[in-house]
Amino acid sequence: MEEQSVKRQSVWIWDEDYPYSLNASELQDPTIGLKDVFSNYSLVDCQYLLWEWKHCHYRPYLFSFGNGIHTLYHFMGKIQKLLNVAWLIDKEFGCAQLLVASNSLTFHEFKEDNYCSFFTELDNSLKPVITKIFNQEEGLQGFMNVLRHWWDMGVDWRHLDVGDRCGVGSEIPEFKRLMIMVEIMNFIYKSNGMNESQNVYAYSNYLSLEEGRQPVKTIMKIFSKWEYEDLKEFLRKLFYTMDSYGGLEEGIMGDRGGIAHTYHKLIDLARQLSLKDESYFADDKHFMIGDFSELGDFWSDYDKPPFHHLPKTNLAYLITKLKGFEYDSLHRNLHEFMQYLVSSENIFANNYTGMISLFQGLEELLEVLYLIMLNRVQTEW
Amino acid sequence: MNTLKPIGIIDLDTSRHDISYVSMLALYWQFFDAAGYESHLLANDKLLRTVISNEIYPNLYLSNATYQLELNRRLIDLAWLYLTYKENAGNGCDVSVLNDPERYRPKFCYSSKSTYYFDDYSSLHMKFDEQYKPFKREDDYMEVVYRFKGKVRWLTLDEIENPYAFYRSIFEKRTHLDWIQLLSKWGEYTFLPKSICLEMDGGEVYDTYVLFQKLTEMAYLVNRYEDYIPDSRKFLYTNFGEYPSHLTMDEIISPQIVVFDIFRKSTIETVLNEMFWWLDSVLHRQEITDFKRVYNIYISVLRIAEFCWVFKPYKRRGIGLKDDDNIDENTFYSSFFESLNYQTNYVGVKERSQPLSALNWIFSRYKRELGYLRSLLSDCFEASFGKRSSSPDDAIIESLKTNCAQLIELAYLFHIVLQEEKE
Repeated sequence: MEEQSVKRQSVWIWDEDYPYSLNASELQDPTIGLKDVFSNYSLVDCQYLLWEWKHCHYRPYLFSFGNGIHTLYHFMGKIQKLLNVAWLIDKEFGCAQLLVASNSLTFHEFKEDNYCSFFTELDNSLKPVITKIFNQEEGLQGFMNVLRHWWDMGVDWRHLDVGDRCGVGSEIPEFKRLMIMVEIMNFIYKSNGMNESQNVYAYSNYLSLEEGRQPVKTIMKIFSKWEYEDLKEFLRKLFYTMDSYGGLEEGIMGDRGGIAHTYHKLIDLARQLSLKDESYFADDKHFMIGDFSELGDFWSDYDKPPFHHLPKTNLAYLITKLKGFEYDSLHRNLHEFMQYLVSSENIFANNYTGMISLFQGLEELLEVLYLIMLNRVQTEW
Repeated sequence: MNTLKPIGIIDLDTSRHDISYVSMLALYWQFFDAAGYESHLLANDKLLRTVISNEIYPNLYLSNATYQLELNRRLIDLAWLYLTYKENAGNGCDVSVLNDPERYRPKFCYSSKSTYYFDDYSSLHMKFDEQYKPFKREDDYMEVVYRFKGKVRWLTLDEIENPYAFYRSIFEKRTHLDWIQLLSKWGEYTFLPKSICLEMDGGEVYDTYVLFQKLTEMAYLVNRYEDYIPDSRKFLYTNFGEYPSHLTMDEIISPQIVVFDIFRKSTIETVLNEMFWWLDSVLHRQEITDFKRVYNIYISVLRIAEFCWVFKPYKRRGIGLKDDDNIDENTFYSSFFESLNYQTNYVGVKERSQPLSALNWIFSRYKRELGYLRSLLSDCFEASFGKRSSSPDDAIIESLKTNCAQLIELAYLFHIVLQEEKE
């Protein structure tokens, strides 16, 4: 009965934070926790899953989240763990030594091999950054609540948002904070000399393995779902969202989330194509679509599509054009635009030209992709 | 991080740090506000099936499973808070020897190396230790079923008697943190078409399930039978009118002690004669000087009445369902009575053939309340010392005489049967 003399202590996690997703050994040595996270999910996997998770209500066509609901649950558990480690690094003096290796030199190396959506620069020390993010989300428990909410979102029986969900706008900054946390922790993990596993789910940040391996087929899937005109209309709609009462009302996010989702996919698909060499475009087999019915309305009115940005339409010109886009900044600026819709403090706040050039860039990309497909795609009769 | 301290991570949506008895009860109440008792037990069944099998059961899908696990998490939190409440109050910390959790626990012996709970190629047998007394346990079990009308299935009598020890045993093998992590492991396997037995021992999984059920039952008992935090058996009967207040706890649990005690000291004739002498004197308004004699017979009658109250079968009110079990019990006793050569004077043929139901019939004359009968007896007791104001009607005293005589005779008959059984 000796242990009885030690008094029980209760932590009320609605009032105070406690890293309860870590077990005893992980509490002693948080690197074990980090290892558990990144040996299951690589950085790209994390980025991709988080991105799909955020958009699970806007998926315009059927998309599977890894192995379904189990992956979601498992992934949520690992993200919880990751946030717990971040909290420990912030609060516990002993754990802050993980930050020692995270200097500008290692950051430079990290940036060479890894793409980050939000974690793009390292000022002096990471600690104030982590502290700031926790403050913005109202602590560890705030993050846990976000994950609870997202979990409900993921397992909801409704798969498409019809525009009546509440607090949709708040998901955008929540997403950013979660993502930046994942990226920072991955940087810390790697700068301490640990290796992550292979990608299991993701080809890139915005594409699943399957989508990334067959970019043409995926592009055609998108083009046959919406006609060219529709996709342009979507873009216009997204652009003019900023005029509605200086931002977003609750619930009107509806298809805007879906538009952003689709355009990120298009950007990434274009990037995958731009990495291919000339011979890829010359080879017909990459552009062969077996099932004619998959193409939908693609061929119906291709006579005079309005192309605003392109003086020439021959394939060689299109391919050079394709290789000339700055894909990273397109992605980042599209993220920034979504941020801009819900908060006034943003790089676009007094920079309308920047915003316009983003949308022009997207339109141009769409035109290039469309013309390449028109040029190259063939069907087996 | 100091991991040696026992820390409970409480995930209840309150900011109440004061664990007073009112707030504790409110927490229990909130639990059953969120989850029905029976439905929670059933959902736990489904949860176990889903987790332990290689399938996902269609009834329990998506967020339902995690919600269910969150509810179980709440029960664990409640257990923790109960312990802190008790320890801060400074009582209940004495863990009695009775509550050795291993006492009745049979050991599972797996004959093959498989960690599956049970598959086609393994055989399983149980090993009992020396002190294991299966019949003792069955008695206890019947007792629990009897008292709580089938609402409690998993808790043993020991655990009901001492919730503190029960709750404490939960945190002896696993810390609160371990429990949280075990629950998330369960959560994972509710979504996997694989069995959790791939990762942990099936017996352990089953134990966890049983524990969830026990926790639910304990919460139910606290919520249902308590105005206060239970630490004794006093919460067995809901209100004062049903509670046999003149019996000790041991006597309530095994009521035969009462009759053994009374009929060892005096014969049936003396008890009956004394009872008639006392009630007749009340009826004839005679002043009595012998306080001790009246008190003795008053207490004896009272205790016999309470014995009968505890012994009588539970009867649903106003529902015309056949109760076959009762009839069986009745025939058991009545056939036993036939073999005795004891001639009853007050118990009729019908009562003698259905002695258990007869107890109910008698109590139905007193609003089916022990409290009412008890107040009549105490009125008579006061009246025999000249407090006329509280004296009941003559007619009531007359009927009280015959009814008490019947109770005494029935109790005597039961006493003989119980004694035979004991030997």
